[in-house]
Amino acid sequence: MVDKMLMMILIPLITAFLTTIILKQHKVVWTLFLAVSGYLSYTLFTMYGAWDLTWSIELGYKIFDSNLVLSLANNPLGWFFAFFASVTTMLIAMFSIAFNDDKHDSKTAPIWLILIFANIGIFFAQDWLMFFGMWEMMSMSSYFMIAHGKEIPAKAAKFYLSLSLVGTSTLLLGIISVARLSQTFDINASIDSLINLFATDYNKAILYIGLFAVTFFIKSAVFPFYMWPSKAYAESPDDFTPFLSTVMSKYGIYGIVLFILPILQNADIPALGQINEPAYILAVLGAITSVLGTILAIFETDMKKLFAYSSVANIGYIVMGLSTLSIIGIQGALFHSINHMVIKSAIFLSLAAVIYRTGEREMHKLGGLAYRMPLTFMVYLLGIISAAGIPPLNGFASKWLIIQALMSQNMLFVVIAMIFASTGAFMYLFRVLASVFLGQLPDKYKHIKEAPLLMAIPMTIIMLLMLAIGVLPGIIMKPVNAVLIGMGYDVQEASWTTVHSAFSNSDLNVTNIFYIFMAGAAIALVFYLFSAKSVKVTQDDNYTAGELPSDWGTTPERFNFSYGFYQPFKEMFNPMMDLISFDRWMAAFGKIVERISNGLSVLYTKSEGAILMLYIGVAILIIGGWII
Amino acid sequence: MMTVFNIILYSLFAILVGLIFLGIGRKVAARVHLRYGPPFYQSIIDVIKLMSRESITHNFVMDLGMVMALTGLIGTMLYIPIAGHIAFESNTNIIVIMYLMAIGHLGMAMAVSASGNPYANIGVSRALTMMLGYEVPFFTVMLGLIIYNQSSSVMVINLAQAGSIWNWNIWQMPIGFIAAEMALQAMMGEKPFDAMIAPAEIASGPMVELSGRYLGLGFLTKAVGVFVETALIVNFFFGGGTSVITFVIKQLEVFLIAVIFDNIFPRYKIEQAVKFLWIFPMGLAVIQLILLAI
Repeated sequence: MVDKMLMMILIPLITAFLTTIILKQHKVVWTLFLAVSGYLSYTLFTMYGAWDLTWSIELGYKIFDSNLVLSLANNPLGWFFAFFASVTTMLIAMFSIAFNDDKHDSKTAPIWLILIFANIGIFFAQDWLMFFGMWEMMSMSSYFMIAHGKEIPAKAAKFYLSLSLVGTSTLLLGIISVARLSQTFDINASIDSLINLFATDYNKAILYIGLFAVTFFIKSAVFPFYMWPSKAYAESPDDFTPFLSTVMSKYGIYGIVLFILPILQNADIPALGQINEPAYILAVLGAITSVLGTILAIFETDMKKLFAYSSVANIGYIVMGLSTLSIIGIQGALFHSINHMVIKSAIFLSLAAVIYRTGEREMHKLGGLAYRMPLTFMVYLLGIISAAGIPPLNGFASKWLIIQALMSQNMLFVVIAMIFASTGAFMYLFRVLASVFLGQLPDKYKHIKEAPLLMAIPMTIIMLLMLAIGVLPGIIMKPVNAVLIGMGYDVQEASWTTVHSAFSNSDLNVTNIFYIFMAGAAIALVFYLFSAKSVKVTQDDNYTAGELPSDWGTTPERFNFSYGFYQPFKEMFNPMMDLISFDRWMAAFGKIVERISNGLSVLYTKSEGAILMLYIGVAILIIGGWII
Repeated sequence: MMTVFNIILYSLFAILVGLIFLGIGRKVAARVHLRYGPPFYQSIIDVIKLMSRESITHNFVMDLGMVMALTGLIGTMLYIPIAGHIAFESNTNIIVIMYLMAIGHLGMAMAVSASGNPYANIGVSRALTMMLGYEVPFFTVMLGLIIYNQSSSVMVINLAQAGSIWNWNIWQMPIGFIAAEMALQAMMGEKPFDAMIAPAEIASGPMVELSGRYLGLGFLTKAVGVFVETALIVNFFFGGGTSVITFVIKQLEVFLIAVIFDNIFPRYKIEQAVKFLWIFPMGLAVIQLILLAI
């Protein structure tokens, strides 16, 4: 039998090279892409439970007296992320076939396949060498994906790349220091040795964890690295943005769950409240991330940037959930990771369909598309209902778990931040709904058609998924609990319908909420049906205080209230946001660096500088010689 | 079968009580203005009239949204214990109630936004901003209750206050009660927090395009909303009630306080309102929370 694990990473790689040859045939290329992601999803599905599946290769070198080995192994945590990531990829791939037509083809399938190869590698890596290699591969290939050979995207991608480079270098530093400590590159061994280090040298251990944390925070855009998504997501190909937001933002989360969480949980760290100090820092960073992400999303007028910030806010929730160090919180965080994948793929795919049809990304230039693209509208509507965490769709149960966990750990001010963020979410989610799908339909979009069939199919599947997970949270909670058992937590098998929390009288039957919602709908529908009929009027037949809109020469585009939708709110927050804009600090820092380096470069390029250097060199020699 | 019967009974009861409250509110407002005022059942007549008149719609989203609004509020109401009775076996979780209520707001906002009238959109943008304003202090107060009782179930909080009148949470956490009352004023959209409706300024905002059955559904949503919001306060601070009648009387008191304040205050601008909500009620709620945590 061929090694399943090896096949799984080789097939994307081989297909990547194959597709490079036939890059012009975009239909074939993207169908191959779909086939590969379908194959991965199927293989991963069959791999559930087969936790002894491994693959490894000895490199024949020795460092720290141990053989260097590259190894992959099936494990519950990696499987959990890899499986749901590849299912999401499959749905996006189906969308991509229709999206990448003659006009829109971004010719990125080969790089994307390499990215998927790195994806599998990261989730199943057992040693730091493999992990680092795949991490680097992922950073590089995603840079090329975002840039996709265009000028403006390349600028955004450069920003992403420079942050990624910082991330990979701290990761390398962290790996080397931890490997020196444990004398091996094995991930589990390094966790144990760091736990031991906490007992002897607390500060050093925190420093080592910090090195890893910076990398993971950068990849998942946790504060203070929250600003790259708005640039990178907005400029990347429209069908790749869902992948960035759903799968790639989870690498950091995976890293935290894999490496940092077990250490914080098991190491001998002085308690602070019901958790400990590093966990509190994690919680506060998560809270800041979600609040900042929310506020910035409310300000945004570009819909892809808006949802980039929304992704940042959601990562904040997940980090807060993890920081509780309680079973409920980790359940909620893992559950929310998957929910975020489903929700954001629904939202970004429906927006991609809008962009595919209209070619417009600025919200205030659109409007009334619900009447031309009803299916896309429904997908988006259900997407925002779940993103806002409203039952009976899927976002609710995971948010509920996180909030309950935060409350039962007495992390009061973190809960308030969470509530602020999730109430603020209504504001930005609704803004896109109102500006893009509702309101007046501009004349130039009068003849827009619904998204093509191949886009409609994945969107419908995602819609059904949101409803299914919302009604039966067990679909995700069962694997989540398998992960927790794999990580050594004491949990029962999850039920299909009910989620629990640590409080008294808090077994929440999520399926019942669906029934109650349906009962409410039935009663509301009775009132609706038993009232007098209504007449349909045209869109500009509006109450305008006795005057006709045409009297002022206004057109449907101008008769929309959507540009400064939250202007008063923006004015309230602007002074504060200016103060804490990390972007600006970076710019100022960049300027200082530029000045210094300009000054230094004079030393090499100008002749006076060279003479000065010579003098300095001579002076150093003399002084050095004198001292010695 | 019993559950289905209960659900219908509870919903109709909430709608009826809510409509009568609105009618009494109009009567009291009239008396504050030294007018005679309409009879207390006027709102019921209004709804029947509106439902039987022809109305205009712009598209299917408007119909969907209005039904969704009423759906959300009725769903919320079914999770709230009324004098210890619940419509069906549930744990009456506060977070569920808060989030289910949101679907009502979302449906309403969607429906009026679909009408394509800029006034409606301005109203919605203000309403959502206001929501961020009141939801945070209101939740902070509830957080205090949750931590105090170590449970997020309304029923548990309610039962913990049983016995004497001195067990009511209004005596345990008076500062939190004041904060919750201020947030409630904004939640019900009464003055000084009615910038989203502002009849003289943006022509009643969200309601501008609604007519006939849509306005009727809006009325019903408002009625159930009033019932839900006052019931929450009664359950949290006034110990629920021994019978349905005392429960409804307590609700009416809470509602009338809001109506009287509504009639003697002018209107805040939206940013003033949000700032006020984040400074005073939020400050009081945080003080209460700290007092409880110590």
